[in-house]
Amino acid sequence: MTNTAWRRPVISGVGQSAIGRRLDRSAYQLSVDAILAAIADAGLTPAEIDGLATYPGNAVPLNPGFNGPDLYELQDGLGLKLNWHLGTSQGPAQFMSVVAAATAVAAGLCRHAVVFRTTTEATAQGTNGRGGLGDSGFELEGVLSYLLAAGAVSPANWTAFFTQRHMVEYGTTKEQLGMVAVVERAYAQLNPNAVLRSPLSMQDYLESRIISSPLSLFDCDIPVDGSMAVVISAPETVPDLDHFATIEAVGTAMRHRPYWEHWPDLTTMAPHDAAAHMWSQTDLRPADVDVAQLYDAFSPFVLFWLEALGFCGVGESGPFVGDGARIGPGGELPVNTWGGQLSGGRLHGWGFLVESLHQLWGRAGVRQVSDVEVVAIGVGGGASASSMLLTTGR
Amino acid sequence: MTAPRVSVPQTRAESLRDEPPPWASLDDVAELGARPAITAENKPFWDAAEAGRLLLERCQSCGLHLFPPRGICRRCLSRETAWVAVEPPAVLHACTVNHHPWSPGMSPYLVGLAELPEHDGVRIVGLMQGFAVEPAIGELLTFSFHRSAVGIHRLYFSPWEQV
Repeated sequence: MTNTAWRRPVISGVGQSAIGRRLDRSAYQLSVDAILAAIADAGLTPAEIDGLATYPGNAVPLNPGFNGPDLYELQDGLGLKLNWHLGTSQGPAQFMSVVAAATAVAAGLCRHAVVFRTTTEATAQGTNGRGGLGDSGFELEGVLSYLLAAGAVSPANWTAFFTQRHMVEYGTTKEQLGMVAVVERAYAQLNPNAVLRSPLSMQDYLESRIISSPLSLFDCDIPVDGSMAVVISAPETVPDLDHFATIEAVGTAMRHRPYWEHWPDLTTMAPHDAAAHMWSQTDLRPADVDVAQLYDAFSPFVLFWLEALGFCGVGESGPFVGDGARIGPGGELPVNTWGGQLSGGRLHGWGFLVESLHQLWGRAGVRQVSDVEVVAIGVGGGASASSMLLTTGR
Repeated sequence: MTAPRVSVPQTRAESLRDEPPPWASLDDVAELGARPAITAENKPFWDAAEAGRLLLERCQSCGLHLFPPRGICRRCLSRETAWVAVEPPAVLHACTVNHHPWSPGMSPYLVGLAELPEHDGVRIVGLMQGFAVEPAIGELLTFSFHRSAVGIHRLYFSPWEQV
């Protein structure tokens, strides 16, 4: 379409493993399932894959089961002959690996790159409740170290600070947060792969236990096991592809301090930087977006993303969500049509990417939105975020 | 030392319960948190914390108060920095009541984010003790340091007593 800043790469295939609460399968084997499915969906063979990337790869885990397998285990185990590869944990949020691979194929470093994300947080958590971060005894450096040393051990605590400020400054209500959870559950009931599919009413939501005020249980995403993968291909491969989605623009900006507690305006988050960067690279506008996929580690993230991407004004996201009709099934801006991480499962950003491709390729079954040509995806929150605009390329 | 008590504020959802939740003591929350890496840049901060004082770096060239400490001003890149002691009060910027038990049987406790308005609005995070109800944004706080299970002395907020 309109981005002249780069040779637009495409996504040519998508795959996923089984997704579930406690699959008790290794991260390595789940990853192989997802990767092989994505390669087959692209109409390729492993011999044609010359790029491989994941986030975070072999890094210090903040939570058990968070990291997924070592990148090199997959390169070796699949016999891949790579021209480009990357496994890393510092970059623009959950899509750092996707953006890096897109950049690599656009620059000609490789032709077909597989990018995957695997988590086994549900199995690793076992039958215990969710633990705090950084309580595993290691010595912590970096941007989270002061928060965690202070005893603010969960992103739920940090997100609560932002949510409280949004409520106090703009009048955002608990019911508006709850509507995000209720709408996502309604979508999840249309998605056979979602992990939480029983009906959720506003009353269920309001009566659920508090996690960290004002956030309660159904404001928080649910850990799962699973792996998802995509194939990112160079633009010159398009004539050979059965289907593709164009990566029209990405947002990777970081323009403020990388600390949750030092973020200047707690009614905004890093998504505002990423979204502004993304829109600066395309002539497409928020009104052109048919479906939005917005990260929801916690329900208020959806509100922050709605404002950041310009679907509504700053401070207006609560009323924008309102009674749920606008973002729900059949609404003018369907949001998180697979159930989001609140009901679909915490696939750490990747559920949004995979659902975007399903929607663009008409594969979303009973939850398919009609005539989808442009999807906006935003992942991350707090002090780190990235966004993407995918199109049918028409 | 007798552990001071962390009071638990009433929220709307809590009022639905039959009984008020128990209070978390400093001992209850002592296990929370991670051990920060002590570096050449931050060692004076943690040493001062052990002595009960809050230290910030201040750029001697442009005057900006710096946190976390790095020995180089993040605004003007001057390497002339000095340590300054910060006295209460801090101003509450946001707070949350943590209910999720990170270890079995843990009681609810308050976590606060406060600003230091006379120090370029540097923000500090800490657990809160001694509050009968959830404090409002803008409330003045005093702070003190107590040893945590990971061996560092960390900051706690309590109500500011006007003199």
